[in-house]
Amino acid sequence: MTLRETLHDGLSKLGYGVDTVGDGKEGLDYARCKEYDVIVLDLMLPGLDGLSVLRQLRTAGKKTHVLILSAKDQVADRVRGLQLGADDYMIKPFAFDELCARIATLIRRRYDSRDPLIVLGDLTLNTAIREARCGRSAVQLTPGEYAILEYLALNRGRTISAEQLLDISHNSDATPSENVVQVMVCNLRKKLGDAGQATIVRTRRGYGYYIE
Amino acid sequence: MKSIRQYLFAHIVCVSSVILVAGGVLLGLTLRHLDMIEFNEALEAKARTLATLVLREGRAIEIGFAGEFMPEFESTEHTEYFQFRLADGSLIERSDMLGERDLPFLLEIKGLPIFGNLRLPDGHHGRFVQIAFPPRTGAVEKCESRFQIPETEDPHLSLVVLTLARSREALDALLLNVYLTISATIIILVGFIALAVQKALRTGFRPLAHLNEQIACLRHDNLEQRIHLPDAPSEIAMLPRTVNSLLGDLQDAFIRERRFVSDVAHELRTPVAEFRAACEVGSKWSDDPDLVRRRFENLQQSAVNMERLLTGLLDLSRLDSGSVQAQTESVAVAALLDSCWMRVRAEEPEIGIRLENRIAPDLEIQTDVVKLEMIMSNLLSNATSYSVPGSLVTCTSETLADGRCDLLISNHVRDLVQADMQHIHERFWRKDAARTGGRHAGLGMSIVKSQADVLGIRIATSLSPDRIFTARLDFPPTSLVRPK
Repeated sequence: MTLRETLHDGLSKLGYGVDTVGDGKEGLDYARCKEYDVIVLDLMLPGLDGLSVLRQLRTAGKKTHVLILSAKDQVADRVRGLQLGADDYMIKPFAFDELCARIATLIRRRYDSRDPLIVLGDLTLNTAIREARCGRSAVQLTPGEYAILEYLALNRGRTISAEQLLDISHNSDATPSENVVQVMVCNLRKKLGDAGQATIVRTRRGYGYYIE
Repeated sequence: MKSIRQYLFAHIVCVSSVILVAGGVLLGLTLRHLDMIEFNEALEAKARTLATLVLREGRAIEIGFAGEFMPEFESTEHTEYFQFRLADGSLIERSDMLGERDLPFLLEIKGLPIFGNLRLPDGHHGRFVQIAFPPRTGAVEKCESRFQIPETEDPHLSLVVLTLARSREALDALLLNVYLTISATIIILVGFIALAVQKALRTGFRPLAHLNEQIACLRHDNLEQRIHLPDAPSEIAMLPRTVNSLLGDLQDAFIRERRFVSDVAHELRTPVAEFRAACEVGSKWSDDPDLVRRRFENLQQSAVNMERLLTGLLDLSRLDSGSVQAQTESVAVAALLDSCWMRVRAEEPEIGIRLENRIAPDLEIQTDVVKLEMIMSNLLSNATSYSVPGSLVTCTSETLADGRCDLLISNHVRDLVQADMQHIHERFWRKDAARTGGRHAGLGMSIVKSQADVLGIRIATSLSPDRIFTARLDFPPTSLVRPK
């Protein structure tokens, strides 16, 4: 439980929307019902073990990237996990930064991007270190603002609803309204405007936001 | 390197050889003695025959020897010699083949024949006999060959001393043949004995050789091998069984050790991961006091869990070492159970599990109170953690006819199944593979079992179809159980 809390706090601090559950059955329900970029899955779970969760997830056709995080260090365990459809396998104990890097890699893979850098004119996003730069100067964004900007950039040309942006910037336990997204987008535009990129995030009224 | 087989071989062959040689020597000496007696008797008989040829008439003595009837005294081969003397040594007559030489004349005359060896005039080894006898009295012819006894008062002079000698080469040759035959027989027998002993030892030691070969193949990495000696003799019949039993124990110990090390490493991975992640996240966002506080809380919880694990391991280590001794005293069981329950309930007050203590308040058992308390606390702690919320933990006692007492602790478990029962006393085994909560390191039942062993308590666990888990503590008959 303490590890789950730590990862939740750490990943949230990095701007990820994070849902954590301590039960295999509950985890499977979450994974089925929501679209996650990455699932970090422990193997020894009460209710339903991690491998069964993974198997049922793949059987249900879910292609969400899964990173197994387990104390089981035997080659057979890793092979079994990867054969069942896991995309990565990490053994406890682990370095938090390495976990974050692997999560970022899986997210990039989800959007078919091998390069951690996303270039939007003068604005450059480094998804590996979660940083936005305009020219040589860094744009100081909160994790939530960065998450919205990165998600819009990764889905460039597509309109993303405020509800979707709410999902990627907040965990399921939080109950913020869509106004929060509006405020965050407003702040994001202001900070980008200070860096000369005021018009990069656009609004499609009644639908959501997009980057051209 | 000393070899029992070689030692036995050398020893048996040497002893057999000594016995055979001693027997051979004894046989040779006996045969020599018998042959010598026979030879002497023949020699004496010949001498007695010659003695009959001597006649005496007054002082005249005549020897009626005729060479044509006794050619052996005149032949050049196998010549025999005689010599007649008076007791004073006066020569009466001697065989012609002696010439001027004398045969031995021994002055001591006692009436018994005297035998001895000599070198014959022809150079051969010979043997002589000397007998003294009074000559027969009869008419002596008046001829030149008669001998006149000088006048004397000495009665011995009336005796004639005959010395007869003959070659003993035939006897020596016979004895040599006997000696050679005995020696050859001994050598052949020793050879046979050596072969027979070698074969017997090889056959007898074959099971040991097989055992040796199989033991030589034993390695720490193939302990599943066992010694097979279908033809094991009774002297070493226990050896394969004992070695196999020890191998089994050793194999089990190796497996336990490997599993234990693996289990401990595995158990430590999660708390170490918690420590590391909490430290890294806490230091990364050290400017967030709320996050840092939560990480410290996480660290504290992880440390408490790890402490539980280490305490359990240390308890088990002490119990396994056999150094833990029971300090027995009279224990009021019902009161002790209530005390344990209070402590366990304080750890998890919110679970809603209730205790029904049906143990007779005056029941006292002679046992170690600290260890019994640890057993009860572990069982009650398990009961509170794994029971259906709001259910009842029941404790009862049964006094048996033979004066023994059984203590039963039952609870309604959530998800234990019959197949889990075989793992109940395994170290680190938990039904909840996720180690949820971390209060239990999976060592509690192992500690209970080890503590019960120290106290001589037999512990049995069972699960009924309606999921009532029961731990039965069967106290030894010697532990003075007495309901007041």
